[in-house]
Amino acid sequence: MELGVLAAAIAVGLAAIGAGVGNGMIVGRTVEGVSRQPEARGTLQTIMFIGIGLVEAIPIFAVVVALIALFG
Amino acid sequence: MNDNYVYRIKRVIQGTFFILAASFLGWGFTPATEWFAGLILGTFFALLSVLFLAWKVHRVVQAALQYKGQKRRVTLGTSSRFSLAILAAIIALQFPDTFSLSGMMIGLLLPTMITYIDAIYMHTKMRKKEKGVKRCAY
Repeated sequence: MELGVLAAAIAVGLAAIGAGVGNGMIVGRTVEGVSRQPEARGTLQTIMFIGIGLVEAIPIFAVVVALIALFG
Repeated sequence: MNDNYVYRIKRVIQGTFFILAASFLGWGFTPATEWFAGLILGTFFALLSVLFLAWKVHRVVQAALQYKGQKRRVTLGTSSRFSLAILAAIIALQFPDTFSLSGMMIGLLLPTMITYIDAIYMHTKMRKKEKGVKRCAY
């Protein structure tokens, strides 16, 4: 049980660091691009959607794995 | 909302519903009912999460345009999407005889994969179209 808690903590923590850095970069650059070039909004919005979807797939997976390590 | 953005999201929803329909067929007509039930559960929650993300991305971009130069707090709803995944996992853990965990985990990733594959497909299609236009011009 104790090792399960440790595994869950490491999984969620590392995944959250990755997601935080990745999301920050994606959102920051997109907001910068949109405010510089409002007519490119559609393209930038679509790229941001795809990017965030890809970046957050791993942390979501990690959360589920952590739950399995805790209660499974 | 922008037309191209709505079109892309509609394509993702269409693909996810296609997978959901195939999963229901698998659930009804194959012996692996638990696995397909887990896949349906995961895909459903992931679809909700993708729709929520699409709405939030639209709001962030709108706020960036509307409140230029001002301080404005807008979130991406990461915690809500994590909570949706946790809810799906808890349901699958609570009823292991009905829902398979591996199916649920694959289902959670399916809409993301569909988004990615669709993006690659659209990109190659646009490239081909641009090449065709250039050939016609010369």
